[in-house]
Parts: sequence; structure tokens; C-alpha cells
Amino acid sequence: MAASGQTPPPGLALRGLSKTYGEGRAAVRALKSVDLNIAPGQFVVVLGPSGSGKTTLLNLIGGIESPSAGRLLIDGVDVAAMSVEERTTYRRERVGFVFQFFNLIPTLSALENVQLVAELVKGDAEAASRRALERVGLNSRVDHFPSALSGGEQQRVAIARAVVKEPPLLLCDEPTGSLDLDTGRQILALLRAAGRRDGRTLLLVTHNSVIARVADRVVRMRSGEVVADETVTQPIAPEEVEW
Amino acid sequence: MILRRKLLRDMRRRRGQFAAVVLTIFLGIVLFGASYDAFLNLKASYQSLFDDLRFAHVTTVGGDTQAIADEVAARPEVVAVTTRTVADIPFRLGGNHKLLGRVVGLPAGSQPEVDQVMVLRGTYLDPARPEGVLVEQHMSNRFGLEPGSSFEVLGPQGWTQVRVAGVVASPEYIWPARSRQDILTSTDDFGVVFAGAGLLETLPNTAAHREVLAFFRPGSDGTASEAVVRDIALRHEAVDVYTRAEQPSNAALQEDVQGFGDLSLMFPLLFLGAAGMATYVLLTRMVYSQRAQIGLLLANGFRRRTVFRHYLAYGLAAGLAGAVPAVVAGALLARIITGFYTAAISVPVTVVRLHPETLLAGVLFGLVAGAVSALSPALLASRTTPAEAMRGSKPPAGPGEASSRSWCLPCAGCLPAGKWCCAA
Ligand SMILES: Nc1ncnc2c1ncn2[C@@H]1O[C@H](COP(=O)(O)OP(=O)(O)OP(=O)(O)O)[C@@H](O)[C@H]1O
Ligand SMILES: [Mg+2]
Repeated sequence: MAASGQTPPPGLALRGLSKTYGEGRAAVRALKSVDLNIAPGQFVVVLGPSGSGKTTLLNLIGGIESPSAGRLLIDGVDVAAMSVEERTTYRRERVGFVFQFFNLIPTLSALENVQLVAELVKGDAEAASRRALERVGLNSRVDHFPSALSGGEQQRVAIARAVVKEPPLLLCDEPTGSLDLDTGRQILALLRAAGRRDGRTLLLVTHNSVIARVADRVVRMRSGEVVADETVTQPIAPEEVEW
Repeated sequence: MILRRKLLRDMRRRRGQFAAVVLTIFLGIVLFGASYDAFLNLKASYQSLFDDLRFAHVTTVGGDTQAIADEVAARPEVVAVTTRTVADIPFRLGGNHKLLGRVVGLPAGSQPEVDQVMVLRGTYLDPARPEGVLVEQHMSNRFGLEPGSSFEVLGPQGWTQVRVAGVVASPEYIWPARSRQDILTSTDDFGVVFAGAGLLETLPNTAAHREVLAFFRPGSDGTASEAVVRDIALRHEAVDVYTRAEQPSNAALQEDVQGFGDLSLMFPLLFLGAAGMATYVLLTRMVYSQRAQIGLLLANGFRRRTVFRHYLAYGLAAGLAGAVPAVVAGALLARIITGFYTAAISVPVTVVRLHPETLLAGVLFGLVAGAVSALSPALLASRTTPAEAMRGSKPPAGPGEASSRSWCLPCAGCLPAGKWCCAA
């Protein structure tokens, strides 16, 4: 399931990327002219307090919202300039999402939740879904429904769902936000594996600074701006994370 | 496809609500199928009876009947003409019960060419037994007159006994009405017998009149032919001319049957309207509660039209689930209704057919009702922003209840009652 073998991980270049919600007096400037370069295959943690624009940044990079200004180049192609149809294709083929609240469909089993997304791309969706679930250690729970799974297990299904299309770009919004320490560590380990081992560009948003130490790089945000950008020289293993 | 599984499981999960919608659609379409099919069956039953018994297209009363008959018979669109005598005279039954009955002349030995009778029991008129008469079935049923019974008619020489040779049905008296002015004639006061010339010749001229009956070639232009016959009749001083549609019994029947036709649309529309409203509210709520799921689908690269079709499918599935068993049940019910109806008013012919067009229309009704009511929720779903997957895991804070209510019923705020609902 090496994503690197199919689509090389993308390099990202953000140029004056801005997002304003609403108009006039009600306008909220969620992102203020962000400039950022992310190398292919890098594991970047975006850190910042609540309301600093982390989710907004992820949404723009993932092509589920469009910027108010600026350019967002993925391998040199401007996502901001894409048509709706092109952006759907971009999401379908290049991006995997992991959310804080898992967002599993309650009426579908673990396998079906993964398969639903796997069907969007060519190939044997069921086999690919089983493989993805196996990688997150859930092969014995494939037929269970979300209500019968723990939070950590649900998030593992969500990770399997995010990677089953083998997207070169993995975007995670507070993936450990609603999990306890141990489970959070497992999830982090799985995500890091999905990034590093399979050669994906991985962006992980959190307001927990300890998590940041597992990444290659930490981008700090405040009030819609990047206030610090550091390379982590000695990333720690997820098992060492404490919070 | 997994989305289809989601559809079925979502429906099973809300099975109570969907069952209510499906049941309402089912009832609406059963009503439609049953009443519309019964309407078609009854029309076919009458038509078949009228064809078999050569029910007159036009009847003229009085005037120079020989001249009228000759001239009408010469018309190319006319295949048969009959003249006959009809007399309204008192009958006496069971010793004491008197009523003003009607004696209609028939040729003894063979059926007339127009307005024949169907012998239900006994035999047709026998020229060798001039005192024999045929009793119309309603009178027979009311007074228990069977072949071999006798009763009296009032002739110039006083009460004369007649014998019942047979009991018959007549296309003119399926609904036994004395006249167009007296549609609701009681069988206590009115009865019809058919008799040969032997009996009629003994009756006083004042009570009797002559009639000409015309039967048209199948496929001829009825309205034009009726006008032609009417012209001829009035030229020869007929006192009355009426068409098949105006014939008292038939006019009453057609009105009744038309009632089925009207019912077959009105009630079903009410039910389908109610089902549509229920589906609309149910699906709008469902879309609202599934915003995060919809966001997730869109974020993962599902197209908006796929999401639209997915939610439209809930309406279509409900429509189909209600409609398919309903058209079958409707057709069966129509059979029963037709049988009951023809038995209740003694129509001697019952035609029951399966009408593919009714089945098809019923299924279409269900699908259209489902699709129309799912349209707006499906559009709402397809316009969800994919960012809902990120942010919409919990309903937005703020006015909460009120805003979610106005979200469920987008136009509720525009109505007085809706304002109250959204403001509460
Ligand atoms: N759809 C929207 N309409 C208006 N304002 C919005 C919208 N989405 C986000 N915002 C605002 O933009 C700002 C940044 O929001 P964002 O969700 O990106 O923050 P965040 O860093 O992810 O916060 P958290 O850690 O709480 O998730 C906030 O002030 C938020 O209120
Ligand atoms: Mg956020």
C-alpha cells in the first residue's frame, strides 16, 4: 500500500493565503496572508490556540473551502484557481481527511465505512478496505458498527478510510482531541506510520504542544497568522508523548 | 454500492417514520387503484351489457312513429330500428298492493332488434301464451315474482290477470327510474313488465304511447347521428327525444360511476399530499442530522449530484415501497368493489379486467410523490458545504432549537403559525 509508488507526495506552496468569513462588520479574518512551503513527504504539525485558524488552513489545503485571496500551489498547480469539478477530483484523488470526531457513518460497519470511500477510486474496494483496516489493527472488528467500537477504534477506522484511496496528502484535524493518552499515542503512531513509511505528506493540526514533538516540523499560528516555524531536530516516538 | 446500503439501513433505523410515510402512500395509491379500476370495470361492464342487448342510442316518443322509423332506418349510420308501444298502467300485486307500473311492448317469440332483454330466469315471451309477461328483475325481487307467479294489470275491462313467463334484465332499467324527473323511484311504486301485442292491444289508448328506438353502427359519430335522428323525429312531431346518455337509468348510473372516477383522484391526492409533507419533514430533518456525514462524503470527493441522488432516493424508495404493493392491492380491491357494486344494483354483467395503465399510473404516482417531496431536502443536502465535516460534528451554538426548526422548515418563518413555531 505504498502511496509513494503511485503518486509522489506533493510539495505545497502557500502564497499570501487569506480567508475571510462574512462581510462588512461581521467579517472574520480567519487566515491573514499565510506564506508556507512544505516539502514532499514532510510531517508537519500545526499548533495554535483555539480560533487561530488551524482548521481553516487545513480546509483550504484540502480544497474543501476556497481562499479569499492568495495562491495555494500543490506541485505547482493552483488549487485556488480550480473549478468546483476540478477541486472535487483533487479531493477525491489526492487528499485523505481525519477528523476530531471520527465522522463515521453510524449505519455502516467499519468495513463499509472504509469501502464507501474506497469505491471512489478504481480497484477492488473491498480488498483494499480490508487491507487498510488490517494496517490499523482492526481486522477482527471489520463487521462492527461504530456504536460497538471505542473512540480509539473509531479513529482507527477513520484513518483506514483516509488512507484507503492512497492519497499522497493526509490532513488530520485534532485526531487525538477526543481520545485518552494511550489511545492518542496509538493513533499518533498509526498516523506517523501512514505518513513516514508510506511516504505521504502529513499535516496534523492540534493545540497540544507535546504532540508537536513527534513531527518533523512545527508551524505555530495565532490569530490567523504563522508566528513560528521550527524544524524538530530529534522527533520523539509517539509512545513517549505525555499530556 | 455502499451508499445504497446506507439508504436501506437509514430507512430501517427510522423505520417507524418511514413506515408511516410508506403506509400513507400505500393507502393513497390503493384508493386510487381501487376506485379508478372499479370505475373502469363498471364502465366496461355497462358497455358490455349495452352492446350485448343493443341498448338504443336514441329513443323518440310519439309523433308519426312509422314515418320516423322509416326515415331513421334509411340513415347509413343506423343499423337497427324498432318501434314499440309503452303504457303506464296500475298493477295490483299480492291482492292489495297497487302501483303505477309500466308495460313495454316486445315482439313475442323473438327479441327486438333494439333494447333487448336478458332472460335471467324462466323463458322469453311465447306467442302461444299471450297472457305471459316478462318481469323486470327489480320488481321481481321486490315482490317475489318468479316464473309461474301471477298478478293483475288494470285494463278497460277491469283487473286482468297476467302470468310471469320470465324474469329479465333490461339496459333501460338497470337503475329502475320512471322518468328523468323521477330518478329516485321506489320499487314499491314502480315496476316494469314486458309483454307481447296480445296484452298491449287490450290496454286503453290514452295510457299508451309509441316509441322508435335507433341503434347506431359501432364507431359512428354519436353526436352527429343523434342530432340527425332528433331532427327527423321533431319534424314528424315527436313529443320527446332522448339519447342514451339522457336515458333516465343510464344517466343515473353514469353519474354514480363518474363519482368513482372523481373519487379516484381526490382522496388519493389528499393522502399523497399528506405523505409528501411527511416525507419532506422527515428527510429535511434527516439531512440536518447528517450534515457531518454529507460533509464527509463531499470532502472525500463525492460529487454533489451523487449526494443529491442519494437523498432523492429516500423519497423514491418510500414512494416505490408504498406504490408497488398498493397497485396490487388496489387491483384486487377493485375486483371486489366491482363485484359488490354490480351485485348491489343488479347489473347482470360484471366485467373485471386488469388495467396495466392503472398499475403504471399508481407506481408513477408513488414515485412522483416521493421524488417531489424529497427534492428540496436532496437539494439542501447537495448544497451542504464539505467543511461541515470539520466543523459540523455538533449542531451550531446560538439560538439552537429555534434556528434548527426554521432550518427544518425553511419557509415556516413566512407563515403566521410558522413564525410562532420558529420563535418559540
Ligand atoms: N464558517 C465560518 N463563518 C464565520 N467564521 C468562521 C467560520 N469558520 C471559522 N470561523 C472563524 O474563523 C476563526 C478561525 O477558525 P478555525 O476553526 O480555523 O480555528 P481553529 O484554530 O481550528 O480553532 P479550534 O482549535 O477551536 O478548532 C475563528 O474565529 C472562527 O470563529
Ligand atoms: Mg479547529
